[in-house]
Amino acid sequence: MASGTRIDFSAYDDEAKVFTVVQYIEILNTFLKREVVRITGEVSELKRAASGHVYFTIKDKDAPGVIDCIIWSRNYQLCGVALEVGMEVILSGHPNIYAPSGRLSFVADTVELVGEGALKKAYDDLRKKLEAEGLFAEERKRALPDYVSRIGVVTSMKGAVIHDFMNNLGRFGFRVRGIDSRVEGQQSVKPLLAAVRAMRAETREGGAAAEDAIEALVVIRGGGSLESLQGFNNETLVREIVDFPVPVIAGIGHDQDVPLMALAADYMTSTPTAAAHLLNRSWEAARMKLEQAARIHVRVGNELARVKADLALARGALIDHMTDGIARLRERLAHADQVVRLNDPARQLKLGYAIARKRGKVLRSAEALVHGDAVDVQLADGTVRTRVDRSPLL
Amino acid sequence: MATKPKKEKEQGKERTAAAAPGAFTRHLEEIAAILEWFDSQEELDIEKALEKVKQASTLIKESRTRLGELENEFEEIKAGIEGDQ
Repeated sequence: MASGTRIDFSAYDDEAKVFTVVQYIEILNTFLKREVVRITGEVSELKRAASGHVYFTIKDKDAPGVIDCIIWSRNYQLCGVALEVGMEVILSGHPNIYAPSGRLSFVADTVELVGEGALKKAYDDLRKKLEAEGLFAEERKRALPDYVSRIGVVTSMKGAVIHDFMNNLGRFGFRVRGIDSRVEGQQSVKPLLAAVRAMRAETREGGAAAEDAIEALVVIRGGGSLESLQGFNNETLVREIVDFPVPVIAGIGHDQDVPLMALAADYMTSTPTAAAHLLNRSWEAARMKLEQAARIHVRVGNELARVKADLALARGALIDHMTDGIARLRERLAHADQVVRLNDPARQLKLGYAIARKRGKVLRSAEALVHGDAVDVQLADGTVRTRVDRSPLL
Repeated sequence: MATKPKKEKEQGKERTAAAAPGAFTRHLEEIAAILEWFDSQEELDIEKALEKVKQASTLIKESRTRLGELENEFEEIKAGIEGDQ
């Protein structure tokens, strides 16, 4: 039976069925593949093939026992651990029988260092290397645009972290695209990488439509030890973050050593809540400005209303003053006219009084006249010439 | 060139006189002065009185004409202000 041919497992229960060696080994491998375990031991032999695959042996520290191991080239590059003889490691993977030799090997998917000391050394060495390359430099960091509304989130969707983040994200119409990922230990490397790479496809550079493309990536998890955060110290993941097309916010809690992925991100916060607040910032500033503008608008409106009322009052007062003034002037002129008429000497003449003049001068006293004087008497309708007769009155 | 009738010419003269800046106020002051003169006379000087009566009559007439013009102007302004409400 050729490798890859579908196996009929129903035949396995048939005691009469006879399998070939290869068929049987394939059946065994199918069962063995399900036995994903983690084993620990000390690397005792090591060989790196031209293909990049690594063949090594680990031995039990406490008892005689060895097992051959293989880690495929792609997984070895991903794991971020440079295997050395004498190194104590934890391997995650499954057993496998190599049909041509019939030998059992352990196929490792991931490799972890054992012990805080080893982890710390690996962390320090990698940090130094990446720092020297300038991956953590401030000049590299990109500013978060204002009013980001479409964000991608990578985290475990099962924990409290995502709830904290979403609850603290303001009501500004954010559209959140989330991808679930393991975030614990070395086993989180592949899922994190896959999630970040999937998010790349959600950016404009990755081919998403402009109106749907995410404007920022947020990677969050709660606090943890160096061992717990191993996935976030993976070199391949760090480089993926450095090359990510839009700004990246890392909201990863940590004990002492800052996760390398956070150092590479454009923004680093210590908690997922702080990451949410960072996204809210420009929106909150805009809201405050709008509220301020609204207050100014109300104040200006009130002031305008007050001025309008004042103008109306002034208008009314003006009209009243003018109307009164004109009426008073009219009365004053009427009064003046009446006084002038009353004092008009011509009026006295109409009443029967006369004005007597001698040689053109108004006479005020009879003493000024002598017999025979010519006196002009002005009456209402004309003047007559008279002569003074001083003869005694009869 | 046609000439204006005498009355209109005279009326025009009167309008021009009262309409000159400050003339209306001066006219009122002169009228007040004449009335004060009449009040102050214990014995009326007839000739002066006649003269002052004539003067006052002219001033009163001009002032009334000018007051009418001012009132018309005010009515126009008032209509404009009330129209803006």
